[in-house]
Parts: sequence; C-alpha cells; structure tokens
Amino acid sequence: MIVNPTDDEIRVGVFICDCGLNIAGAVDCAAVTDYAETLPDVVCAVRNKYTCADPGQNKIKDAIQQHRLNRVVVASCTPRQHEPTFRQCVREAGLNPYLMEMANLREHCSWVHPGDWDGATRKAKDLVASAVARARFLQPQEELTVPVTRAAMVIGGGVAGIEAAIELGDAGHKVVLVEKQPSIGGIMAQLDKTYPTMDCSI
Amino acid sequence: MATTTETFRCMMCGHEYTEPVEKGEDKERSCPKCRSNSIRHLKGRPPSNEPRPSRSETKE
Amino acid sequence: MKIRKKARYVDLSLCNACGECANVCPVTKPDEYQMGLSSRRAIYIPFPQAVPCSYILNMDDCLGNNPIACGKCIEVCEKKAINYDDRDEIVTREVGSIIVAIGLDVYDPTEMDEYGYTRFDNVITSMEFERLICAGGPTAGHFVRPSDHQRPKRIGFIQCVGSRNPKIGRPYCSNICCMNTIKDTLLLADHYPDVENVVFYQDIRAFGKSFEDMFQRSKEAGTRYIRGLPGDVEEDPETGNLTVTVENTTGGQLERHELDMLVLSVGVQPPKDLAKISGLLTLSKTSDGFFMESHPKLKPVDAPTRGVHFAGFCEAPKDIKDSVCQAGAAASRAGALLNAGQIQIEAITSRIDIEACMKCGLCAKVCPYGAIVWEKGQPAVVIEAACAGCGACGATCQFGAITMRHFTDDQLLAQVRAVLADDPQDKVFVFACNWCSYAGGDMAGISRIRYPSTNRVVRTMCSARVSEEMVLEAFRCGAPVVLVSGCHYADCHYINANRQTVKRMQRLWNTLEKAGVRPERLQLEWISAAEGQKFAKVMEQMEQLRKTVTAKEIEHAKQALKPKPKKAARAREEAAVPS
Repeated sequence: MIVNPTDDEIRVGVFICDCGLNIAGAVDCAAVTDYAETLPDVVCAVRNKYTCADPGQNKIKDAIQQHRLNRVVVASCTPRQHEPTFRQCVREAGLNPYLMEMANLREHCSWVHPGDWDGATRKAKDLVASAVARARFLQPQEELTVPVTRAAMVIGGGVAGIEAAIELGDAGHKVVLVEKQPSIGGIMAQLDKTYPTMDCSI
Repeated sequence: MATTTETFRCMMCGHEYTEPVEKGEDKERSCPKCRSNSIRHLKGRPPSNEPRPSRSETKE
Repeated sequence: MKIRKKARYVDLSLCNACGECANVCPVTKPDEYQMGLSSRRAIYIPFPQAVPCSYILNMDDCLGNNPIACGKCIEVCEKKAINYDDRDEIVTREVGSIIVAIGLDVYDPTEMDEYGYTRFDNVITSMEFERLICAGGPTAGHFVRPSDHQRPKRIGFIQCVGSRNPKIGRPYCSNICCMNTIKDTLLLADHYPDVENVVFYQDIRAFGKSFEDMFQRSKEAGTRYIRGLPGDVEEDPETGNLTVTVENTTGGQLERHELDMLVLSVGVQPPKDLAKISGLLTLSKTSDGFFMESHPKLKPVDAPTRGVHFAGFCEAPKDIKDSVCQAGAAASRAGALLNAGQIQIEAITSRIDIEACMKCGLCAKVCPYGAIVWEKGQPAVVIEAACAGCGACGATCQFGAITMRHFTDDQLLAQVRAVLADDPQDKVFVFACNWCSYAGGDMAGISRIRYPSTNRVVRTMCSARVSEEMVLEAFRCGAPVVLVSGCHYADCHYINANRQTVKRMQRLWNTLEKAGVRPERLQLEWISAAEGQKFAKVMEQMEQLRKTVTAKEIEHAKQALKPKPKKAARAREEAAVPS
C-alpha cells in the first residue's frame, strides 16, 4: 500500500552516489553530501558507493522509515536511466513514486568535467540544490491506467518483419503484417545464398 | 501559395539575411553562416495569432 | 492505424498462378526482382515463391484498363480472377503495439563515377551479382558477364562502395558487405574451380561466429585479398575487359589488374520511407539516419515512443542472423505489453482549474494532440487519456489555470531560483527537453565529451513547457545567459509542440530588447538525443557568450525585467486576438 505522509512538514532525504569512481572520481562527493545537509527541509544526506544496488536502495528505504522522509532526492545518474528503479524503490518503502527526484551527477557532470574538480563539485552542488528545491514542491500523483488493444502491427515484410510476426502469432497474438510490395520477402528474397551457412535465402 | 521575403537575424553570430517564406511553412531554421538555431524573425509575422513585433528596426 | 490496401487487380482467392495471363500480355518491363536484368509483363508474379502466390497487375504498365485497348489477360483467365475496376481500399486496424521493420535501401553507386558503374557493362553491383549467380535468376545460375554473355574468369570485388566514406556522407560501416563478398568468392570458386577472384578492401571485418573460418576458406580457395581501394577503373572498348588501378597499401606499390568483370560491394542506407514512418510514430534518428533506440545497450529494440519496437536493418545495419534475433526480441517486448493488457500513463498530464480558467481557449489551440476541448464561453477541459504531457498549454496559459502535473510552475521556478541562488554570474542557465536535448547531454556524458562546467540544466518534458515567465525569472535571478533547447523539428516528441517554443522565443527576444536587455543573452538550439557532440559544442559557445556579459548588464536585466502590473492586461489582450 502506498502511504502518502501528510505534507505539514516537508522532510527531504538526499542520497549521493559515488557510482564507484564514475562520480566520485571527478566530484567531491563528501563535500556535496555536507552541502546537501544545509539545504532547506533536508533532514538527512547519505553518501553511497552504488545507490542503485540493493544495499544502496535499502539505505534509502531505511532512511525513509527512520527519518520519516516524505521526499527523496537521488543524486546519481540520468533519470532517463534509473528513474524507474528509484521510483520503485520509494514505492516499496511506502512512498508515492512521484515524491522522488533525481540529480544527474554522472552524465551531466562527472563524465563531462573530469579534471575540473572544483567546477564539477560546484555544479554538482547546484544540481542537488535544484533537485531539492523541486522536491519540496513535489506532490503524490496517481497514474491513469488505460487498456491496450491486444493486437500488434508489423510494418515491413522482410526477414525481420516476418520473423517478428511469426513470433507474435506463435505467442497467440493477433498480428497485422503490412508490406508495400506485392509479395513479402524483402531484400533477402533477392539474395541467392546467405552467409555463413551458404543456404538459400527463400 | 503566398510567398513573402522575410528578414532573419542570427542571435549567435549577428548574421542578418533575407529568405522567401511561404505562408504556413513549418521549417527548422539555422544560421547559414554559423548553423546556430537562434534565429530571430525581424519583419513581417508568422502565420499565427501572435502580436506583430512592435518595431522593425534591425540595429544592435 | 489506417492502412492503404493497394489494388492488385487480381483476385487472390481465385488466382491459381497458372500464368496464362502473363503469356498473352504484350507489355514488357524491366523485372525489379531480377534487378532489371530480365523482363516481366504488366501482369506478373513477383517471383516464383512469392507470398501471396498470386499474379498482380501493375496498372502503371498496363496498356489501359479499357478492355478495348487490350484486355488479352481477361480473355484468357479461366478463373475470371482479373478485375480492372479493383480499387485501393483503406483498412483500419486498432493495435496495441507496433513493430517497425522497414528494412533498408541498397546504395546506388552511380555517383561514384570513378568505378564506372552504368558506364561500363561489366561493372555490376553485389545485388546484381546475387541474381546472376542464382539458379532462379535471369541466367538460371550460369554466371555470365553482361557485355558478351561469356563466363568471366577474372573477377574483382571492390569493398566499401558507399560505406565508411565520409566524403560522400556515408561514414558508417554497412556491416554485411565483407561477409557477403567472402560468400560470393566461395560460391564462384565452388561453381568454377578455374576462377580468379581478387578482392580490394580497406579492412575485412569478419567478426561473427564462424566468419573468420569462411574468410580463411576463401583465401585457401585462391581468392587474393589486396588491401587498397581502387582509384580508377578503365574499360577496353574492344574486349569489355576492365583495368583497375590500385595502391596496394600493404607494400605501398601501385598495381594494375586486368579483370573480366568487377563487382561493387555496395553498402546500405536507411530506407527512403523512414522519415514518413518516423513522423507517423514520433520516432527519432541517429546521425547516420537509422532509427534511434531508447538505449543503445539496455533497450536496443524499444523506440522512445512506448509500444513501438524496432526489428532488423532500419535500426542499424545488421545481417540476417542479427535481424532474426532482434525480431524475436521485439516480438517478446511487444508481447509483454499485449499480455499485460493495460498500460500506465505517466502522471505528467495537464490539469485545468475551472475556477481560474478565463475561457480564452489559447491552450486548446496550442495542444498538438487536440487533447483540450474548449468552446467559446466555456472553461477548457483536458482529455487525460489523450494528453501526452508536453506542457505547451501550461506555458501558454497566462492565468495560472493550468497545472502540469510533476512539472508545475512552482517546481520549475524553484529550480531556477535554487540554481541561481549563489554566484549566478558564473552560470549558463539551460532548459533542456527530456527526449532530445537532455538526452543529447546524456550522450555527451556517455561519450565522455568534455565541455565547460558552468552550465546548469533544468529538464522539462518538452521545450514548449518553458514559459516566458521561467526565462524572465532566470534573468531576474541574475543569469547572464539562458539557453532553451529542444528536439529538431522533425524529431519533436510531441508532434510539433516545439513550434510554440519558437513563437515564445520571438516574443521573448522582443521583450528583452524593449527592456534594454541584450536579446542575444537568450539562445535557442535544437539538439537531438544523438548529438552529444553538438551539446558539448553549444555549451562551449554559451560559455564564450557568458564571458561577454558584464555585471552591469546582469544588474540592469534584474531591474528592467521586474514583473509589471500591466502583465495581466497584456495577457488578456493577447488572448483576445483572433486567430
């Protein structure tokens, strides 16, 4: 069950990830953690070696319970990679997944500013401050569930399209295979023998 | 199709140029000199409901 | 999805593929299946194993659907399967998942004039080679050369024709041509033991399972591999023989090879229909023009659009085995979604506060999805299932009546203020859209492309979410430079929402100029998810621009852009302007 804490008091937890040396090699993660603790409504800041691994996720879950967190900021990699991971993580700890925010210290910072220790650390602090500022305004959200029509369309009747259509058909799904030419087969049908086994294409 | 000649200014390098624009055209613009996408439309107005730019001067 | 089912003019259920119709058809056309090396009739079967196994009438070739003009095939068809009045049909099918497997186009080497393709009869492409060596081909598998129909003994292959050649805008490796040529040399050696094969190459990429073994067998069968791509091909007009000049880079000497026939091992390219499909399904491309996947390693068959998957060549050059593997993966991903039977929509959709809505209808106008319903005199209403969450409406509403869930004004303005709280003069403020520009930043990271550490990126789903207020607030907070970045026009993840970004930028430049703020401090760039290089370059440019902005300028902007009470009045005026 998802419990949404009352918002009388915002309690933010910040989790700074070393990502091995991926982040910690170019950013002063200890300084960023200290800085995070000074930000408004932040009640705890925790540094981790690998936040996405089980021990890292468990630290988030424990902190949510221990510090009664109702907002979580994960300062690690791009949300385009691990946002689903950490949303699931806070959900498992009873928090609405939309109360989690990420700061991208890896793709947008440590990986592109190696050798610029001060600049990268300053930037990392700002990215964390930005995420915390945003987190303070986050609200729990409910996702809309819509039905999916149980049929698939495959565009292109070459070897890939035919194979995909057969697979889906074998799995019991209805498939519409669309091909612009009069026959399926694609370019492969024009080949004589095919490597590496030298058998016929058709 | 109505075509007008419009003036554009690159906000990156300052290059100013004119180009025929078809009414209702929908195309990505980039500076012919520096490839920047910061292209300011200086005269005329796009086919939309937005206010006409109040001035037409093109100086710095 | 609507599908145009093209007219065949032959009833599939009646045609038994007897072929009488083609026997009487007086029209002769080049046979596309045989690469134009033989001919077909206007009514034809594409190839003997075609599926569906039925004849088809090409109306463009037919003498006319006026039976007086010809009509021979109708007369001879016992099954009465031919119908000149057949018409295209629009079929509508509702589907929950789409697999895009639109394949490839083969490179046409005519533009590489130095190789003489189309100038010399005996220079052919590797696709034409396939038809010439095939038992089902125009020569029934007897390998002959086009000029005199004699069997060639000395056959050359040129690799990388239209591949790994940045000079003609084709920098990528086509993946399949090395192995295809090795296969061809083995076929020739197998059919004709006296054949002399020569392969001109820059690198032989035989990296797959059992590929190296094939390469060694080809060498053992007598094929000579010469490292170097020919600079010139000449034809002896008497014999039709070809002389190839090449620098053998292994020894560094210039060599001339006389050959009976030359096969250009042509590369492949994205299919020309790719842009059309891309637009229909809001997909994006990588720099080489193939489809871009969600993640190059972890989501290799998923498109950024949910429910769409890639299979085969259209994602990147790959051989048959890889195509089959990817097709299986795509089917599995699609099947998982279909089995679930439902999908969660991310809670980032738009909500309208009926109380605050001034009923102007601007939001409905800018919505690319038609997801906002508005009637004059009524408050606007969002259809949540149709809303994709771009936020164009939220940035357009002047009355604060629209809340973009999870990307609210409060949240984004808080980020602007937090980032610029200390030493704003040292920072380049960047708004980046989730799908392209922010992803382009990720790509720069993954590729470890360095750029100045002064930029601060705030992510929105679409550049159209960035309101004028947000940009102005950044300047008020002391930002020297503000960059708004989004998807290229063709790649906009929200159909065309980023056109609103452009309009807003024009207004903002005017506003800045009026306020005496140098409008150049506000920049716009389109950066795709694949353009890590461009992202880094733009950040470098922004940093250069930042250095030109003086403390005095920053201070002036802070004062000059303070919110004025007339804002509400101006907004009302804008809303009242009819479209």
